[in-house]
Amino acid sequence: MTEQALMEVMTAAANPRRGASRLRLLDPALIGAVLIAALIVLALVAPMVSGHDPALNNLAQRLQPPSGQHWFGTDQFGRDLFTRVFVAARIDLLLGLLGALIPAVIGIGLGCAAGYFGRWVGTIVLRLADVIQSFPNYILVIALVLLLGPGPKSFLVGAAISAWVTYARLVRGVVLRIRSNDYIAAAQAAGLGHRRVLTRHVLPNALPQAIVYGASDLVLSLGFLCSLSYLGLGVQPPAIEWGQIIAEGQTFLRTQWWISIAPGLAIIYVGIAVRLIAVGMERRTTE
Amino acid sequence: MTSHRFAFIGKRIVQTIPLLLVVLVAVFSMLKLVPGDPARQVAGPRASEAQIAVVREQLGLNESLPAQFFGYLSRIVHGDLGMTANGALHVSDVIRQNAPVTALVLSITIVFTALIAIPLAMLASHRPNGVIDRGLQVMATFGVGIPTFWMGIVLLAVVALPTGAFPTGGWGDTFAEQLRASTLPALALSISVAPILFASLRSSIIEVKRSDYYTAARAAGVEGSRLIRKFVLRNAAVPPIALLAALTTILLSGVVVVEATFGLPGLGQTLVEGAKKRDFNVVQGLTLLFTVCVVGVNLLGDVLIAIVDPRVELS
Repeated sequence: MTEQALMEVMTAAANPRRGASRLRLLDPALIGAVLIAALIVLALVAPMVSGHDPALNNLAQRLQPPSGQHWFGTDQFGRDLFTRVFVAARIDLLLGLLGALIPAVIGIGLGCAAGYFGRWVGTIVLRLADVIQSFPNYILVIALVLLLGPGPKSFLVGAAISAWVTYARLVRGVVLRIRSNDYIAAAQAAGLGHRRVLTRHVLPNALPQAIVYGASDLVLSLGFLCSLSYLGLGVQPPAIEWGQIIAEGQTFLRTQWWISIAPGLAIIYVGIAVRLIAVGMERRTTE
Repeated sequence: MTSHRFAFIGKRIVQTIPLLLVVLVAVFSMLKLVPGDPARQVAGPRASEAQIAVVREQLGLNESLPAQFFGYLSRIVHGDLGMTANGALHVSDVIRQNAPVTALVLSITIVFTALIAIPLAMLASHRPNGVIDRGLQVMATFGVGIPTFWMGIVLLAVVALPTGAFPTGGWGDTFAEQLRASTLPALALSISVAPILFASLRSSIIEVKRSDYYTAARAAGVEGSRLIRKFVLRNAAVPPIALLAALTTILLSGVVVVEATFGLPGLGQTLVEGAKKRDFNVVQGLTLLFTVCVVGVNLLGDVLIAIVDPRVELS
């Protein structure tokens, strides 16, 4: 239910009006991929482009507004914000991706098992999903912080525990639908083992939907990571991360509002790019 | 209501009990999952061996696991969630003191979310895939991607600081002050929740309008607000109500974040501070409270569906 509604919001632009879809000069997936690639390149070369070290304090230059020398201004330690915002993309993209990828692998596996083997395996997975969904994911991770300490580890473990549920439900549904098809029965009758049937016939059919949802989940995962870091429970300094820069900048919101604004725009930029990729993929799977 | 509906509701209540028990076991197990000696963790790094022994006794760690669990259960039933780490306050008192802040922010958020999502969903479903509908869908897609805490900061920078009409942090003594302090946090939160309700409601209204009973009602001459209330909204409300539990988890997660952004002394702040200070009982108690809320709302959603949906499957 959640997944349906979320998918609908996330890929709302996926069903273009008739006629418009024939004009496929621009593939949204391609645009999204180019936007992400551009961000990755900038994340890697930003210190060279700006000529500033993202971690270098320069108290004489503290809290400067955007200028020719510091394109996004500087923070309270005089560190160059342009460099910091783009260098932060390294950690944010990597952890955001892992925060979606790990649960995806777990969820697809459990969903396949639940749908294919049915009966009690399915029941166990679904009941487990019910329990997990009773824990709001931020609360679950904050509880984990108590056990594992603040840091990416708590975020990743929390994502692995909580976010697989949607993938499992989604994949289970698809598997149930295709399991009733004749070719699966034929494959089994022909003596193919469970593993072969699963990897050759079931998984390829279940995967496209899971991948489309995964793109939406990536956006959620990134927002989750940044929120935790903003709360001081995620990525810890000296590592450079968007949520953290926003939290530091909030102190100076009255006079230096740009400190907190730039990293937020970066998060939204990634969200738009990833969603464009999702829209492109959704169009491909529905055709 | 027919007796069928009562039977359905009763069955759902009974079905909730095992879920609640498993949730309780999970929250109880938190203590068991603490790496190292839980008594040492709770007592803190500067505690002496004797103090740790006292804590171990207090936590009942010398008893068997089932005995510990039933001890935990009976304490919860009596409203005892233990003391805060510094031993000064009962966790249940801390919750009682801070809960009104969170409750007010959440209530206003729900009002804002409904005020944003319902009219826009009706507007969008008027002409499905028309210009307005597509525009609103794209807006919803982007709205859901804006991080709640950042939205809060933007509202602080754009609304609170220049106008001075809203406080930039803290609560208030009078209800009017508290309402003002809750407005922007609630708005920030509803901007990320409203798109989900909007999307769900939009597609269910479109579906209702395609249905035979809607055509029949119109053919029978039902018009205007009566048509909207009795036929469209009532039937279209079912999928969004089914979303209620999911929306609650999103709301509870979100309120933790906006409370931090706006410096509100609510349960979310208590939880975050508790995690930072490694205050075990506070985090455990709040985790339990939030989770029981979700389970409760889930049940409430099912009961509402049984009442609202004329076609409820009573199986």
